[in-house]
Amino acid sequence: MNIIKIKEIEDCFDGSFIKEVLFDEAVTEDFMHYIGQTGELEYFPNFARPFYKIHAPGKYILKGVIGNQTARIILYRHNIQQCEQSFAEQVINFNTPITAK
Amino acid sequence: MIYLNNAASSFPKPKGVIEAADTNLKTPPFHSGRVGFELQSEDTIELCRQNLARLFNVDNPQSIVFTSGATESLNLAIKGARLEGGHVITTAIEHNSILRPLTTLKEVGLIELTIVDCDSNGYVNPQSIADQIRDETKAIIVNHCSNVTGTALDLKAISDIARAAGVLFIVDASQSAGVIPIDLSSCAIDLLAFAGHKSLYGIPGIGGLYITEKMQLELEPLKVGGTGIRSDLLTQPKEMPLYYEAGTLNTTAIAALNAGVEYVLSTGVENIYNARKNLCGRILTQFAQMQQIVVYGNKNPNESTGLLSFNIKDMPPADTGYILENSFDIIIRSGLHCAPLIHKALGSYPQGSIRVSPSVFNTDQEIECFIDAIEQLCTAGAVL
Repeated sequence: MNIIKIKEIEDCFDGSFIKEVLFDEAVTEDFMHYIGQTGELEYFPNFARPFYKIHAPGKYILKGVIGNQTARIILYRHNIQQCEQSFAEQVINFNTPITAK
Repeated sequence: MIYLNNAASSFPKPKGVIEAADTNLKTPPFHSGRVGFELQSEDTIELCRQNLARLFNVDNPQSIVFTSGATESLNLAIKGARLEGGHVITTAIEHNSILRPLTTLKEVGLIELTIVDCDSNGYVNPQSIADQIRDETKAIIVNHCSNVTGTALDLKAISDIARAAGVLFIVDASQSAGVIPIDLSSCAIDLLAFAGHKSLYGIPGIGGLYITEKMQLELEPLKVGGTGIRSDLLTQPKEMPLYYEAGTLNTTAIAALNAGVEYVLSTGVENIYNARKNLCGRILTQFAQMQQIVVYGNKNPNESTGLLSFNIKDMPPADTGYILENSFDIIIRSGLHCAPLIHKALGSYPQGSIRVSPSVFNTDQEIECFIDAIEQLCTAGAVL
């Protein structure tokens, strides 16, 4: 999985940033569970299109819908670049075979 | 897709609106639209003014000037009304299109500003406005209908207060124009701003300002420039509506707006109001039985003005909005809706609310789908 583009959506009242992430392929349950390991995962599989929300404390909140190529990420202002970079590395590593890590 | 965000911009548009825009774009723009009785563009512009005059019960269509939208109309009204050195009264239910121009004037020391609180339903008692009037008060500026709760203020009572005090009365009718009858012959409103792309069914980029006779040519224009006629003058021609319409008019949007206003007039404002009230009433009736739902504003299904705000307990409105859009294909609006102060009175600050605003084109079935989605959000437990 790769990130094609990250688009800023808005500044939040609490000092965080909301960005829209465009992946190069649709988000799957496997990807969601993989990212979910970094924090608390809430998953609503029974909605018309399953919704997930992952809270990585102090880093970000990621939410999206299984099957979509986009997701929304809320980054905290105090270390926004570091958190964004950390998330991007996580995404890329989802592709990487375990033996190559 | 179920579209329930008509308070932002209406969708779909009546067929005639699309046809009018299409026809306009296919017609060569011979002139700027201000010469020659034979040109369709001229007819459409004046016809639109006449139809708007019918809608607002105005004798002289030339009292209505076109702008790029309600925000420009309100900037024209607020910045052009010579409020400097005076005191202005507005309310907590206002949109930022009023709050920001007024706060800007206040911060540079040009006006004193009083913001009158609303109650927990978003209603502003006219007497609480009257109580703030003082010798230096120059204007009362209010939103007719809140874009957050749909609560409508008593324009007649406030206009009587303004008239008695001898102060200007400026009204933002962005949400109400086309939904709630506005009779300018019986209500002493000096300046009335409206948006074209909401409940008048036009396209974005058009709005207008009604200017009462005593304010015509007294109100300072926001911009000056070409008018297509009187080009020998180096100053803005002091004629209505040219004085306020510098630059090429957005004739495509005016043609679309004209068709939208014709739709409203032929359908009837009261019928449109009732259709929207019934759709919102159906939602409010169902919400009354759902303990997880907090409705902001008037909860009486028989008194809705066609939009409402709510939240699901323990669910941020940003999440609710995201899920409705992405999981259920239902378009609503979440957040503060550009009206931050009302949320403090409603108890929904700082996260805001979910706003649902159906149009006359929504069906009972679509509303049922929306209610069903909300029920699922309320009852679905997360798989952790």
